Amino acid sequence: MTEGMTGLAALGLPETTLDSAESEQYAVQVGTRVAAARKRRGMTGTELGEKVGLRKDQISKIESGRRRLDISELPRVAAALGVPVRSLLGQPDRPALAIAGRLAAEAGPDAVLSVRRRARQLLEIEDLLTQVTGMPPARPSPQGHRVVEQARANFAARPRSRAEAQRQGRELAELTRRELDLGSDALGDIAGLIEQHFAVDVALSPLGSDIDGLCVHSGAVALILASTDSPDGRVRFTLAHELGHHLLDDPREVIEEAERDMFADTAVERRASAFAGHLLMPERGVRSVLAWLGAEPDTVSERAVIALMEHFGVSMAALIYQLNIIGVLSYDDGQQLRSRGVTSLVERHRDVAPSGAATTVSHIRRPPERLARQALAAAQEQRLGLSVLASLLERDDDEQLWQEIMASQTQATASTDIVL
Amino acid sequence: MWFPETSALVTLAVHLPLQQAVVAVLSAHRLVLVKAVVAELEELAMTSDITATWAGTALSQLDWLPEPVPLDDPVGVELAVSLQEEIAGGRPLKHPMEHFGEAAVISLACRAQRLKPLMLCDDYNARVAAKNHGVEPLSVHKLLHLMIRQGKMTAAEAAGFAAALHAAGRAQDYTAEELSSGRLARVGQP
Repeated sequence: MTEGMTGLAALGLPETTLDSAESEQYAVQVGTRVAAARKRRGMTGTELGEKVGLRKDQISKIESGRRRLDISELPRVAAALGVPVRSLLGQPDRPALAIAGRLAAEAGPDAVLSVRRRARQLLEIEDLLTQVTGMPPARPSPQGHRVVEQARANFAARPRSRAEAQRQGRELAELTRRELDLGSDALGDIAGLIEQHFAVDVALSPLGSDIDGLCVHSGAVALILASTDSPDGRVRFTLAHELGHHLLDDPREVIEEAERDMFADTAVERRASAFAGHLLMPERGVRSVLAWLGAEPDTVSERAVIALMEHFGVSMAALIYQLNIIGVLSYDDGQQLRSRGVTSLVERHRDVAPSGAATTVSHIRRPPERLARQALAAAQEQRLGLSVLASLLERDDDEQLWQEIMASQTQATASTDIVL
Repeated sequence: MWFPETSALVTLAVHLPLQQAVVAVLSAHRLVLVKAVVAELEELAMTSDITATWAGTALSQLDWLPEPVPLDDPVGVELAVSLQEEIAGGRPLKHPMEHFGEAAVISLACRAQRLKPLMLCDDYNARVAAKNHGVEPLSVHKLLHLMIRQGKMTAAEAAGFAAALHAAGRAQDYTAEELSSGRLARVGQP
């Protein structure tokens, strides 16, 4: 290498398309950001230098723009300052990356950290697929678009009472079922339904049982994530509840559902839960199943509760709440049923709950379909490696994954005219 | 012009006779060692990863390569940052420098097209990124295949090296026939 030269100049080539003034200005701007981040962190130049293996005078030169940061130093400096590399370069944040950055920066209870990590990963992957492969943004179906428009026009006002929250949630659920032509029977794949109609990416992962999930929505970015370390019935309720927040344009950019957040006694949570309840268990559908079971009007037996859980794929808690709202089960009777223990009740009435799915903890992993499809195509066309797809699928067996998706396409080593 | 990068240097550090055979062939060409590759090896050597020991060995065996080339121009740095994200693909990083060696090599090499850049690289994701940026990548196994084809090594010798890498847990097992024919699956791509 030619002494003192860097980059392309060291290879005997013209260095850059930027002129020297622009290049100097760039170094000054990066240095200013380093200095600002260091001061925010309360570090001296000496301390930063010790962390990254540079002398104090070198840090001083970097901060004043007299020395450019090498790519071998930049990640270490960013890590020492606790900021993303991109922030030191002053690159404008694209929407998904901006939210991902905020998710990473915010403190929070331990329970939400795993969910935030996964959400951040998915947002970064969405940005990467958009940048590298030109993935188009998610688009709602025409029916879904109508639901969103009406939801935001009709329910813009925050409910001021429990009754109003219940009414708004129910009306929105009925509107959704009507527009999407869903009738009044049980819904199948709720994650797929949300993605298909509402331009929301949905992911499921085992993320612990101390958190139900989260909804991230801002501009064109919309992601719902649920933990599958809870019974499937609860996971379905979480998905529907988060959809409610999204459709009703909850002003929070990130809505986290830790522990009992979904059931907090606030109008907004009650409205989202009412939406989820009526979407998953519409009154007409519930009454139809009860009639089929031969139940007397406005009475619900223990066996009928288990049959309804199986039919609608919901938890006992959600079902009893909904039966209470519909008016076919009193609060006291509901509590009495719950006290008997859901597992033993399902076992006792296995004839009407053959799968027991509502109480099964599946721990399944489901990446957003839109992202997985794009990542698979990009991997097969070798526009991207396997790491994006592996991240989406939460797999680390790259060799096996390659065999599964690539082996049938490419067998022989690509020919080359390299002369050794 | 050859650009060996982090993962390939780690592979070569696993088995000294393999490294010597590769050096014997590559030393006839112009070689470029990018400074970020050295930095990535340094970070890797400090981790508890299984490859940390080999990274340390690789650092002590860089004397066949010229002085490292820094990459600090704005265009190169920004491209390297994007490439690092592309190669990582959303996976959590084991250390701050992970994939920056490959990214810096591609960022520099792709802007040096007239020098016909070649990247020696054992990371599939980085090879795909390199190919898409006009840099021809080769894994160590693919290099062994070329060496057989061009009479620089026998298939039996190459199979012996491949067996040593497999025994160390660094690669799948490849037979002399596979190395000779080039049916190398993932390490032969792209």
